[in-house]
Amino acid sequence: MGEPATWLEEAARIERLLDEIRAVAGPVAWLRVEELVGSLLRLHGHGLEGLLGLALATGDPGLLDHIADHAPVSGLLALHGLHPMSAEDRVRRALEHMRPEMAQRGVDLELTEIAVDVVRFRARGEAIAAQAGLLRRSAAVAAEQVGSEIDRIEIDGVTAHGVSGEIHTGAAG
Amino acid sequence: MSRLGFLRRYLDDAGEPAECELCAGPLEHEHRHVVEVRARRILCACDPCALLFAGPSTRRFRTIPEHVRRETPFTAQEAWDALGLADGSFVLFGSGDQRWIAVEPCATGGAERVLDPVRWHAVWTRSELARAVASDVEALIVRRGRQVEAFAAPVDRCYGLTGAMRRRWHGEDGGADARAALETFFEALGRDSEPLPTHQEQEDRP
Repeated sequence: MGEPATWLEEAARIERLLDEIRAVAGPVAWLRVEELVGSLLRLHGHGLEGLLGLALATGDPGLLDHIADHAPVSGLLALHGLHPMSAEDRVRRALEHMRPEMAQRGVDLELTEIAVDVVRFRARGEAIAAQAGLLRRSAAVAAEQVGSEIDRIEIDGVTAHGVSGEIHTGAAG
Repeated sequence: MSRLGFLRRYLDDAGEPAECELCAGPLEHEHRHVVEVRARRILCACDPCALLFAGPSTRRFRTIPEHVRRETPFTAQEAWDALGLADGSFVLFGSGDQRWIAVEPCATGGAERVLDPVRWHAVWTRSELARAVASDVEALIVRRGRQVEAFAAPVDRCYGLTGAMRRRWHGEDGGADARAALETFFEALGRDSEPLPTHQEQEDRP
């Protein structure tokens, strides 16, 4: 998907800093940190919303695809609940990108459900057991398109073949 | 999961995690809280973890009790007034840094103040309830009215009050909305409270 590393590094840095502050701040200070972070996000959310309106007003037929292909733009719009493409479509699109690589190794992945805290996939193909690692990685990449905290990713076909079908991301909370 | 998903909780006003902050197990919407004593940090806890840290012997984590004890009338009202705290303030003993701290509601949340030891001592000697407040997990909070009452209240509820007042805060002193939040808080606290049993002091502190 060609995500620029700086964007991901920045996100990881924010998460780490918030964890560190949470560990040392008293409840009063933490209340303010929560409010500050929420406020900064909402400020940028307003900007994003306005910008999205301007972009949509141009009537560019390829706009939705451009947005969906741009990882930081897509991720931020999803975070703010502003993404013009549905979560299902975004996940299916991500799967589409990874389909050739999976096909080469004799497997395929299909989205079956996005629930509150779990995204479910179905695995198909000859080499499911052997390609469990690839399937899990692909499912994780695709599920990331949802943009909210997902506790679990389940891959049906993988469980059926005696390989644990659940991925506990451990990043929630 | 998502690399930005961790930010979602700051946008929703939910603010509370979906899992126990001690064991990462599932967390009910209604759940207990545990204080990490040294950092004075309040953590959301599942029932098994809350039970685990409920004993007075645990040092690093202590479960916040649910019971509320009341002293009617508050026997240290004058000494309390001399502290000069705004309505809705509460006082707790942090055993991590071994001192009494007051938290005052304000427009930006809560302001922490270290209490003047002499003035606080005057409250402490005059009120049995003030002496009975459990370290770290309970706070003393005073309700003004026709009759002044004091409560030894769970600290999670007290911080909840601070948050509720902040969200409704207008102007210098909070205004009518913040005051209404305070009244609602005290009504619920009063309902849940029981009178302090006499001669049952829990801890001995200066």
